[in-house]
Amino acid sequence: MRTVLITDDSKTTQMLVQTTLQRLRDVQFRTAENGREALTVLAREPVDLLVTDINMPEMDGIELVREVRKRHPREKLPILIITAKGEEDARGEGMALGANAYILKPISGRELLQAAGQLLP
Amino acid sequence: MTDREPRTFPKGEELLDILQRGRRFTEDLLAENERLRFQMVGVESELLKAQNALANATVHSAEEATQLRARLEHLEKRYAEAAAENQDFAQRYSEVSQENESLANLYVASHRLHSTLDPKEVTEIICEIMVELVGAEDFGILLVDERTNELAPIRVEGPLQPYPPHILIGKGVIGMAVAQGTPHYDESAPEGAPLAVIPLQIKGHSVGALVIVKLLHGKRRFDAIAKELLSLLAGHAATALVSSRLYSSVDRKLRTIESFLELLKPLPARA
Repeated sequence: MRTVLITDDSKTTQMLVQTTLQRLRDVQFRTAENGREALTVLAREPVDLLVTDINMPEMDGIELVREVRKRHPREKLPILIITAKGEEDARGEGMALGANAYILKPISGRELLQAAGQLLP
Repeated sequence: MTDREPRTFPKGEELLDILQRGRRFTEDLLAENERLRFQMVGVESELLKAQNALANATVHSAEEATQLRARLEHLEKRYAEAAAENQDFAQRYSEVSQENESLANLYVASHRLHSTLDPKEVTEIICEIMVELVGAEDFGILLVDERTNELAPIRVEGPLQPYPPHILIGKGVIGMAVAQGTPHYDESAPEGAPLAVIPLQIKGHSVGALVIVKLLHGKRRFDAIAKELLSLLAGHAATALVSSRLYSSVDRKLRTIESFLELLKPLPARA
């Protein structure tokens, strides 16, 4: 069973990502509302894919990518970031810090499935 | 759970059922695709064999040559039919995939909208749906004030300019769409004017509107999924908004009555 960690302060996005990725086989989900919560989950159990938003309270997606990459290399834990308009700089920074891919909001189910399908082991 | 806590409406479960049926249908289509691909490979192989046989065969008689040509024609016809069927399948797969995405969005939207009876939270969820699922950047949620027959914004993201103080039902782009109860799309509207007005309706009665002035990433067009979602969302958002407001108002009244009843209770006798 592969584990996807969805990090977003919006419950709507969390649910949409989960509903969409349920179409992939053998996948289970964990959710976190910000980067800090995500790091707690990552310290507790193995995760196969991290899907994260950028704008979040307490610890944003950029900081999360930075922290994750200190412990997990790109090949071991792929990161998919979800970005909105006006976050072009943050998106570039996230990719430079070691995110594997990004998708734009509004989330397209097909794009999300394709990206997650390529990143999941 | 106390009787004051909101309960999830059965609509969410119905949608989950629809979604699961969509998933099963997609899986059937995938199996059908596999069968067709297998069939095409078989026909291609037979066709190739027949062509080779025709090329290499020492034709002993005119009758044999005619038979081989007929077989070749038959196989070519079958190949064309299988190719057409496959193309048709690809088209259907794309449609079903789009439908699935639409259903997934609707399921999420509906589930979220009916997960609470707090008016503030419902408004917040509508905003999330507008941004995350529809891709709206500047938009407004308007409700009809029954006393004045005017539309008043309860939440605006972006500039306030598209929402004048008195939006009468039946007047202007927004008022007309609400009066007619039909969505209005004008993708060539000038900047700052509504690109879409979606009436919020309960049983054919307009109770408000969703007004979109700007889309994310500078887009001007709504894709089919966004339009479908908006039309389905209109009913769910309307029900969620109105029921949460009613619940909140009834709850307030109930608390007031409870406080009065508390005051009417006899004081404990002094020892």
